[in-house]
Amino acid sequence: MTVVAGVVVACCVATIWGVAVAQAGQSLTTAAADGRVRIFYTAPILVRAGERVLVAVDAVCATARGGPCPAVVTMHAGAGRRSYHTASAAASPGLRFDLSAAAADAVSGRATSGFVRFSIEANAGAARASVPPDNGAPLLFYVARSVPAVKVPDVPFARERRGRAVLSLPWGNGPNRAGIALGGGDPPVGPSAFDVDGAGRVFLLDTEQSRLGVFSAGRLVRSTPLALAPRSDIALSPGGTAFVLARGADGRVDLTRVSPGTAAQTVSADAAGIPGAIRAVGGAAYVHVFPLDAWLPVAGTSATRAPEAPSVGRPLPGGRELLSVVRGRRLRLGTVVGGRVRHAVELVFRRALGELALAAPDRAGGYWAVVHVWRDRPRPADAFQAVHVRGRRVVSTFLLPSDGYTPDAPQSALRIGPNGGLYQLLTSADGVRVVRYRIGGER
Amino acid sequence: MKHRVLTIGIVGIALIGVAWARPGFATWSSAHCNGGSHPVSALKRLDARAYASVAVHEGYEWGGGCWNNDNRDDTPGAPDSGGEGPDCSGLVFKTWELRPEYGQRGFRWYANLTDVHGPYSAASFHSATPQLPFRDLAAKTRYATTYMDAFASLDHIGMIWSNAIPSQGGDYVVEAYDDADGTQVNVEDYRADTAYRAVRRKDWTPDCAPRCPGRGLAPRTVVVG
Repeated sequence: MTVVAGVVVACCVATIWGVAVAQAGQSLTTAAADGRVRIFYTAPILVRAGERVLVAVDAVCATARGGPCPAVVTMHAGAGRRSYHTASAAASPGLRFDLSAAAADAVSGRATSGFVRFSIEANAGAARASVPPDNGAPLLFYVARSVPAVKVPDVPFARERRGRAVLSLPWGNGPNRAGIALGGGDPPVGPSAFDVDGAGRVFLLDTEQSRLGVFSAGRLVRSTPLALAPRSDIALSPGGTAFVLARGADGRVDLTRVSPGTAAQTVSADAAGIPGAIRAVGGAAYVHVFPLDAWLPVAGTSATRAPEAPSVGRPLPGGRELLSVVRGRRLRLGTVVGGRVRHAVELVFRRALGELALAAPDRAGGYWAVVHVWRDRPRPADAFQAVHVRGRRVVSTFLLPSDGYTPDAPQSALRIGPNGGLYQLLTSADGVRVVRYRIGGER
Repeated sequence: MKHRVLTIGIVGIALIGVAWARPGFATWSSAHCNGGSHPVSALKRLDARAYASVAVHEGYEWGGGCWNNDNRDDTPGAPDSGGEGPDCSGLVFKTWELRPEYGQRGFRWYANLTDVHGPYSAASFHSATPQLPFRDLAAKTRYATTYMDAFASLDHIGMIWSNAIPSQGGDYVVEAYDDADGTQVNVEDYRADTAYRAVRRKDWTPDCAPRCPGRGLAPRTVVVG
C-alpha cells in the first residue's frame, strides 16, 4: 500500500502560481517587491482507503533579481467533522506532507467513500501564496474503500488502428486549408484543438488563420474570425455555442464564446494560470487550470458552482464529477455523485504513461480513457492507447498514432463526439486530418 | 561643377539624415540589453530555477537571450526583430550558466539583460557529445530525471520546472516556445514523446551544499494530524 501511495505522491504534484485565481474581479497577487513565491503541490484526486497519502509540496521562491529565497509551507487538512490539522515546514523540493490520518477519517465508520479538505500556503517575507487562493473553498481529494485494479493488456506499438478521415486539409492559406507557422528554428505551429458536434461537423481552431472553422463533409461551412493564441482549446455546447480557452496577457486565462450567428465575445477572464482544457456541460463551461489543477466554472455561462469553488473532478451532467489521475503506470478513474465516489477503478498498464488525453464515462458505469503510453527500450516508441473499461473488465483496447507534426494543446487532440465516435486530430508534413474511430455504441 | 557640388550636397544631407534616423531602427535588445556576466564556481538547481523564474511571462526571440522582469512580452507580434526574450536553447544556456566557448565546462552567470544566446542549438542538446558540458540521459523515467533537467528534440528544448506532476500526466516545463506564446511554464508531454531525449547539465552542486546529510537530498515528510 505504501509503495502505491509513494507512487501517488511522486507522480502527482502541481504548481500553484502565487496568483492562482482571481475572484470577483480581484487579482490576488502574492508578488512582493523583492520577489514572489509559487506553490507546486501533489493533487491526490482519488486514493484508496488504507493507502499512505503523501502530498509533495514544492514552493518556489525567487527574488526579482532571480535568486532563491527561503519560504515556509503550511498544510491544513481535515475530514468529516474533525477539525483541521496543520503542519508547517521549510520549503524544499523534497518536502512532502503525510495526510494519511485525514484520509482515514474520511472513511471512518461504514462509509464506503469520503473526502478530505485541504489547503496549502507558503510565506516568504512579504510574499505569500495559497492553494486555493485566499477566500476560496478548500480543495478536496476523495477516498474510496473499493478501487479495483484492472490490468490493461499491451498492444504492440506497430499495431496502431487507422481511423477514417472525416476532415483533411492541406497546409496553406484559404478556406479549405489549415494555417501553419514555420519559424526559423522553432517547432511548427498549427491548429491547436477541435471539437465535434452532434451532426458530425468539425470545429477547428485554426490559430494561424485566426479563425474558428466549421467543416461539414470535409468542406468549410462557416468561419468566425478569432484572434487565437497557440495552445487554445475548444468545447462545444449541445446548443452549438463554442467556448474557447486561451492564455491571455500577464499569465491570465482568456475565455471566448462564439454562438452561431453572432460575433465572438469574451465571456470572462476571472482565472489565471496555465490553461489546461475547457469542457461544456449543457450551456455551462468549465476550465481546467494549472497549477491549481482543478476545474473552475466560467462566469457568464450557466455554470452553477460558485465562481470561487474549484472542483478536482471534471463536471458532468447531473452535478456529477469525473475523477481522473495518472500515477506512474496507473490511471485511476471514478465518478462523484452526491459527494460519494462511484465506479472507482484503477487501470494498471505495463508501459509508462504520459498524458491522459481523454477520459469519459460510457453511460453504463464504465469509462473510455485514452492515455499516452511510451517506452525507452529496446527502442523508443510511443502511442495513444484507448481503453474501454467496465467494472473489473477491459472491454476493448487499441492503439492510436501519437505523432504530430505540430504540437497540440494538452487534452485537445482527442474527443468523443455526441454521436459516440472517437475523433483524433492528426498533423503531418502534408496537413491536418481529423479521423474517426468506431468504438461501439455510436448513435 | 555646380551640378557636382549640388549632387555632393544632396548626398551629404541624405547621409546625415540616415545617420540621424538610425535610432529609429534600433531594436529592443540594442536599446535595453546592457547586462553583464561573470564567472562563477558552482550552480545549484535551486539557483537555476529561481533564475529561470524571472524569464517566465517574458517574450520570445529566435536567437535571443535578453529579457527584463516586467512579466510581459515587450515586443509582441514582432518575430526575428531583435525583440525581448530568449529562444528555447538560449533560455537553457543562460539558466544552466554555460560558458560561451563551445564545449567548455564550468559556469558563467549572465544578467537577464545580457543579450547572449550561446553556441548551442536545441539539436546540440538533443545529440550531446561526450565533450559537451551536458549529456543525454539513458532513460526518461521520473526516477532518472529531476527538476532543471531538460527534454530536447531536434528543434526544441524545455527544462523540467518541478518534480511536481500535473494530475493528468505530463510535466511542468519552463520553455521559450515561440513568439506568440513567449516564455512560459507549460504542461508538456515531452517525456512520453520519442522525439525528445532527457538531457542533464554536468557538474551540478547539490541543493543541500555545503551541509548535506549523509545521503544527500532525501525527501522530507511532515505528518499532518
